[in-house]
Amino acid sequence: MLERFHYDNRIVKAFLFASILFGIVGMLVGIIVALQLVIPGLNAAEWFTFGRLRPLHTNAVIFAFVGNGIFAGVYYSMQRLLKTRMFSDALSWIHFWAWQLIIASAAITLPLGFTTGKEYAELEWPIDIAITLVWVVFGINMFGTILKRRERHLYVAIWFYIATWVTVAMLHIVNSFEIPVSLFKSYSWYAGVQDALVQWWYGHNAVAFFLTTPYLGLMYYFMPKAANRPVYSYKLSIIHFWALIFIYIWAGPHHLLYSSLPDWAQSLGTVFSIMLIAPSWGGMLNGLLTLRGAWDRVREDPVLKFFVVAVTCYGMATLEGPLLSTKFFNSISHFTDWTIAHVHVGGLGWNGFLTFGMVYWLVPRLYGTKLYSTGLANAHFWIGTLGIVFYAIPMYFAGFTQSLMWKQFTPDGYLVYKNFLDTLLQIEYAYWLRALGGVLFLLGALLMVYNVWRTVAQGKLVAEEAAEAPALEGVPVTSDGGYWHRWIERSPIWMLVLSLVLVAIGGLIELVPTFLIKSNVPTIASVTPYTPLELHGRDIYIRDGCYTCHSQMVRPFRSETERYGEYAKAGEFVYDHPFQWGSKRTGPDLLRVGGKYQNSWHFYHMLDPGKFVKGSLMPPFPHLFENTIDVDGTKARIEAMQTLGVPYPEGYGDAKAMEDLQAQAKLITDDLKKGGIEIDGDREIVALIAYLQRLGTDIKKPAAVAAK
Amino acid sequence: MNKRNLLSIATLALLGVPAVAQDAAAAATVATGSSTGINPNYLLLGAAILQVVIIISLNSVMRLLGGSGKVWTARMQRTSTAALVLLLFTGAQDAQAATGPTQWTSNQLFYVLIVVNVFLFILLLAQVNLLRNMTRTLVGKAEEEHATSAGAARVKRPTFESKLLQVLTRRVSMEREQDVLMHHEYDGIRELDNVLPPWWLWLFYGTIIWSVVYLVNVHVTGVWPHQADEYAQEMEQAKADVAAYVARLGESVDENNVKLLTDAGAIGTGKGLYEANCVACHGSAAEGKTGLGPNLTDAYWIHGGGIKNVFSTIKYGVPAKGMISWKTQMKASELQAVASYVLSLQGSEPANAQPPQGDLWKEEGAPAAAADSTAAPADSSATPADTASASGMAQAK
Repeated sequence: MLERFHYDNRIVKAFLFASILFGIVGMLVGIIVALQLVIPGLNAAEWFTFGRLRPLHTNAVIFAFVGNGIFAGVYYSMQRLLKTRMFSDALSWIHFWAWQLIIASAAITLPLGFTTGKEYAELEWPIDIAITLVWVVFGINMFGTILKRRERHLYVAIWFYIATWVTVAMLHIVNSFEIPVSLFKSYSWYAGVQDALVQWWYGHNAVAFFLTTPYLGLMYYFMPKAANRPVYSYKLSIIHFWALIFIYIWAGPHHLLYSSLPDWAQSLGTVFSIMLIAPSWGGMLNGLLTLRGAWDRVREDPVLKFFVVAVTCYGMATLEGPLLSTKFFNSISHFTDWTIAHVHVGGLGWNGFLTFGMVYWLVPRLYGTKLYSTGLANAHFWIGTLGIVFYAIPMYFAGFTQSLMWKQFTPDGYLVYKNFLDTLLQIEYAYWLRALGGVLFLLGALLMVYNVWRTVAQGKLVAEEAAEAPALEGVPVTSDGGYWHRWIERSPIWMLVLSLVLVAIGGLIELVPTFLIKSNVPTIASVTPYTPLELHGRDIYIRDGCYTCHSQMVRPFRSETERYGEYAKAGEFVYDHPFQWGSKRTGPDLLRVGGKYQNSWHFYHMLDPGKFVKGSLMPPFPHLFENTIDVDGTKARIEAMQTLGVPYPEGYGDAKAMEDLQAQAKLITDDLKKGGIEIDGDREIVALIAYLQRLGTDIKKPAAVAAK
Repeated sequence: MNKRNLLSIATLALLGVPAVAQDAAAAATVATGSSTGINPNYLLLGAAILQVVIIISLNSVMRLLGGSGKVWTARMQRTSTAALVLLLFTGAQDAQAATGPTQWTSNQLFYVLIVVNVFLFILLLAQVNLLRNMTRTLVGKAEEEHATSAGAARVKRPTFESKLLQVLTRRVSMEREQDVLMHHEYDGIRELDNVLPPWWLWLFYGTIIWSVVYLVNVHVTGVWPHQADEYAQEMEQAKADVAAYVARLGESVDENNVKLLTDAGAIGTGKGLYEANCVACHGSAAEGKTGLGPNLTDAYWIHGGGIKNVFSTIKYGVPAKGMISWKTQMKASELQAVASYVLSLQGSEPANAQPPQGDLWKEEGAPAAAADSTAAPADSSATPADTASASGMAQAK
């Protein structure tokens, strides 16, 4: 019995245009933050500083640009691969508008400084809850569609969509465990080493299951469609899919090599990253080999060109990533711009170019017309490629250069570049070139916007695309070559369950022992909770995104202990909700900054770093000298920390905390006064100084010596 | 067979080898740190230029060969353009090395040149490959014509490359694709039943074996060290290296034997160090800054005047007062130079001078005991590698 139905193209159009719009916005913010690094004056206002805009850039490109790109591709391909309309139009539109609302709320709250301080998961708890709800809506809509399909078996693209959905749900929920302090402030449920492990288990797999697996699904649909060639190997699809999702989830700890994370967890991160090379390349191979016999068309068709570069970048990034996960390369690359280069090869090349290819393929089909200009699309391709080159190569050079400079010693045992700033100024040129690369990439994208606009103008939206297929009951079960795998392809719920089990294994084995076995985080007797003033200072540190440029993780290398002091110990971070180890050093590490400088030094430095330290690229933070400490929130903060197990005395938050806070503030203002600086004790700068002076000093206290 | 073609490949091989050899030689020069007179960067730049020349001349050869084939011509042009752009980039870096505000050290230039050379070499290889393909096509055509004229249907003999490729991929040729086309199709997408590429599978197995070896070596047998042990080893090695170096040099200045320097060279060095490190707190003329650092030009000293005390104060710092320790940031000789420079400013009476702090210092009455006020730097950041200061501390105690 042939059934007639319509594909819903309106929702595809909506997501696709949202992706383009936020892509432009995200890239623009990217260029702004790139320039803010070299022109400190561009950090023009409290809400317009690098520390607050950088999370906006990452969130915009990951969740708005790529996120909407995923949904556009999924909503288009899933209907066709399953020969059915989406399960519910209402859910589709709830999904669409709620997602855009989340993006809008991110765009407002991040510049305002509402952040959890955990990378790629900066959004505060109310938005986290909203994301969870939208994700559930998407899941219902997706599985509803799968269940009412007219195709017996699920194509490989759908496997990837299913794995994506279930894993992202798991990651988001686990990593977002936090205790609300107020409407827009929360503390991570986990502390220190544990928080770091959860965060990078999440962070790495956000790359894996938000930027990679869904896009592999899209590749498996759009690549063979655009090339009009069969997929190279069905068997390779099966093996690399299961291997990829199983292995990927283990790799998170490679972000924490040579840190206070226990050695065994670091080693798991390393070996699973290495084992990930082949499964990742399976996707690249199946993509590129699908083009066998279509390479002549690659020369003419911009869509295929974009796909080829995207898949090639994917291949490069997934070889480089595992290499960076080995101790040798990681000791060089970590905290440098090498990491930035690496993620942008993936981001600009793989996600960017695949999205662009998809746009050029989809828009003419959605509008029943031809692309307005192939020439413009080709121009976009070349400008974009040039943009990637101009972005990546200078960043690689910057990474190598700075890392080598950090590590260079004179024969008589001194650091050659004692002043961190020297190593930064050395690579300033690369920061300019990188911004140029970003501008080129954006220019290319703007050409696409024009091209899309003209294409839309010359066509007419095919909102309801007619299709027909027999009902599922009429579709026979086939074994097709005797593959046992055909069974799971017709059992979507089992596929969901098996995916969840596979991705849960790695996470459980890494997380559970780190939480339960005490020896993983040896305690240090002299480490005590932050004072109320320091806690406020820490919140300010997190709010202004200091962690985007400063790490708090002295690694066990001679070059680091010589520069910063004793390397970090796991027990030092037990009260750090959230951890602030950072991932990039545009400025020096701050773990041992406590007691290094005078209070007045910090005072003048925060007021105008460039004036105080010649050539400094750090932006000024004048608002710290005007804003007052949120003392109304002290009690809630202390109580939230107590809930998390931080041992403040019972009822400490009621009055004693405030007394202590004022007493400590007075100590600092008195000290500043001796140097002729008059400042009220209720200003944020006082709290920040208190926090900075506390950093890393606990293990130097007498009790620490006694404990040894 | 086109002899000219082979000739150019031979030339290329001959020229390419020295280029690589030069790279290697240059790398060796840098690695050993011996300066044999010739800057390896010049060699590298020469190699780069040479490679570009070869690339361009090869192009003209190939254009002659395959002038009618549009595809080839386009590809060749791209190659030579890329080579030129790279060379220009290098040239620009060179110019920057000479004039730019952020000067390239010769070391960095060296790495840039290495990368450029490698790029060029890859381009060259690509070109040789293209050339070989062209040759094969031309030769193949001739053979084909020959075969047709002979009227014999000859089976093409598989080349080594194609055999190797077949072993590595075991793919089904495009012509026999129908045999492995699977029955299912999704929205028009078909799938082939090609086997897993053997090279890919070996790679996968290889990484798994490596992982097992890694885990066993690190966590079972302990052949490969944990990070704390690695750190201890690194520090020990550094300590030994530095001790050997210092012993060879025979120089060790500390607060017990330090002498005031007055020669212009040392004062100049000290001035440079002062301007780079001290002006933020003590002012550009050592006049002092309110709340930061005291006036250093008067005769009053908080932690004692005279070369030994000033040296010691700079070296260990006075953490309680905000004076940081400079011993990890300056060599002993540098500490001596900067202390000497500071003392050379005595009585200079700069503008905006801070009022005197501390006690009036008289040189005659300066016992070594003054070191007591500063010689207890409970600095946990002291590292074993820091032999110079460690020995200094031991002597101070």
